[in-house]
Amino acid sequence: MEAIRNPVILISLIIYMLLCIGIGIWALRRTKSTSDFFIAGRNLGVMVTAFAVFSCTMSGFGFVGGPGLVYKMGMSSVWMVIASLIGFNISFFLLGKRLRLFSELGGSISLPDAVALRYGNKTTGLFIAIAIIMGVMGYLATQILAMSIVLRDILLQTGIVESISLGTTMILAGSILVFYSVTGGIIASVYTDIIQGSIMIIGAILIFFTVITMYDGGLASISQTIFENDREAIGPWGTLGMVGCLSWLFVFGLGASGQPHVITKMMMNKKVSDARHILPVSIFGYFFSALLWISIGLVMRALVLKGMHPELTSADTAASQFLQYYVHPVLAGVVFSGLFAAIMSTSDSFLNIGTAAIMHDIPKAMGIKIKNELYWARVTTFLLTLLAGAFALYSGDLIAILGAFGWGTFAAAIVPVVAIGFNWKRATPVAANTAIIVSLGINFLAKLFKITIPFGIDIGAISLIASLTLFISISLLSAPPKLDKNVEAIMDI
Amino acid sequence: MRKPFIVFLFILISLIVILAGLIILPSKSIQVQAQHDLFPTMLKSVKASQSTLTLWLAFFFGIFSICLFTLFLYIGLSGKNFNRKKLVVIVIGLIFYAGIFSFGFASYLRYIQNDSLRIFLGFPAPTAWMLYGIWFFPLFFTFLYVIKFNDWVLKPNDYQRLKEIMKSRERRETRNP
Repeated sequence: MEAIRNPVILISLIIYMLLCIGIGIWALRRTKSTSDFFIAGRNLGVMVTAFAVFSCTMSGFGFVGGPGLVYKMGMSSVWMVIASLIGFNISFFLLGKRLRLFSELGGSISLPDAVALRYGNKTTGLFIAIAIIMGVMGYLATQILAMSIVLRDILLQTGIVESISLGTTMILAGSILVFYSVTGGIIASVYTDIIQGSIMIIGAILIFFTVITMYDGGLASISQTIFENDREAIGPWGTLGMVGCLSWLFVFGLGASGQPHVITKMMMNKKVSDARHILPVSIFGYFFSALLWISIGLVMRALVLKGMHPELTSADTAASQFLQYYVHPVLAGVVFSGLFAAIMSTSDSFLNIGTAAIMHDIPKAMGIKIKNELYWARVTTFLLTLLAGAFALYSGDLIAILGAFGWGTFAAAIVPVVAIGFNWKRATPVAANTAIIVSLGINFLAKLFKITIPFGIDIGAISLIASLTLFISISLLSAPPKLDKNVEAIMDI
Repeated sequence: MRKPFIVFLFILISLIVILAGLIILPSKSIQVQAQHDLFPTMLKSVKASQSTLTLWLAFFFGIFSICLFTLFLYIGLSGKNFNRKKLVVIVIGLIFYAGIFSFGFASYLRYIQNDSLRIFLGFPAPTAWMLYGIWFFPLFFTFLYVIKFNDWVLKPNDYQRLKEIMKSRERRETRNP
């Protein structure tokens, strides 16, 4: 059985990549306008939208970084997963209906478009576009880097090559990503998300059952082993402690409604009422794929503590080591594809919103009209991937700064302006612009100067509280804004 | 619609005060974790960081965070007119949600004082509260969203209203192309 392990992993990956290429070719025929390219012509069904929402939320971080964090810190990072359930609810309660309505009203094809319409202010749309580009560059570059590392490791492990550079695997993996993102835009992206999401769910459920059956005594025994070494590690807060974990609950719970690559999907469904069914499907999809995050991390910590597995060279290898040594080859093949899928589904979403910001939102805010938008959207997607790839290879520490910049920055900049502002007529453009600028400033300076807060408090929580407080206070202290008649009517629904 | 935002501001200020308290007030140690003695790729907890004051401040941070979560849900659900039923259901959700968090916290206080390990469905009791309670409770709100969608989120006459708004927009665009 072991002899077929590596060929099976490689074949699974090749099948997955061929499927992505096939979907790209199919989607090319369906992409006839920028509306198709960026928001799938607002024509997606419930299942497609729901899978797109959860699979782009569960990025490569969930499949690689997540198990690594549980191995390293015990239960601490599970709070990011716990926050997701309330986060999905908050996102849909606040934006499930609202964003779709605004998108229809203004024919908006991107989040900054809808923001500019809501506030009647192009500058607010421009600031949101800038925040998106800053977050996207870091996020996209880290995802592309992770994708290249995973592919390089698989090719080396399977023995298909003796040595291969990171640049080469980046070109290989990036070509597939660029192909379907350029040809089919968001249509290819969301339909590949169905495959990607299905692989993630099936792989995670099977891995969970493998974990509880392979370790003698199951979960209880794993808990006992970790408890005997460090009781806090298997306690509710892990090694990070209560304060740090609750700051994650805060920033991941509220921050979900500020992730542009996720909430933009809420503008794409066919009917406004689809939100009713998209929410539960997204939640269950995310829940099942999160089982992998928790189970692999815990079992690897217990195995190493018991001396049943050598210590890992790095915490991030927890998932790949588990798949390599303890999982049936076919399942390992599925999960390695799932890992690749998780990274790709997040990357293509970021490519899409990044392209929209560069090619559509910023020129629009500056009064520049672009002819043949669809052509330039494709060119921009290609160039953005090249730029992010180069950034991943050559930017050194800057990629880590911008990568970490991601979730908390989006949360602090977008939650007040979009999640609250789209539900509160009193919110003013001045409050929105101030909240965006202050949140970007706090996050960027904290990362640049490596500022840490006592008790492991996440800087994202601080910047989110600051931007929310400013946004509400300034709006309450200002005169109520005069809204467009149609915008006001949409906000009354 | 002004009142919820006054409450919102109150919760945010409370969170700022708690965070300031955590950072400013004297504590045995602010270092919460350190490298594991035997396995450098793992971290271990630092017991000195477990002061009672820190834990209680963290507890209130959690309670106010939960209040903010449910307030967000209420803002999303509340329409143009005040609806007492919506408020009551969300408040009931808040009470249960905060209650589960409080029980989990009480279980954790017992956990750090006792040497014995009580396992519930594979995890120590306070961890089980966190996983099976705090993680899963928001399904109550999901259930609410699904079953009350046509009454509370998008009423049948809202579709008609949307059509009228779109027509009015089209008329305006035809007049001012």
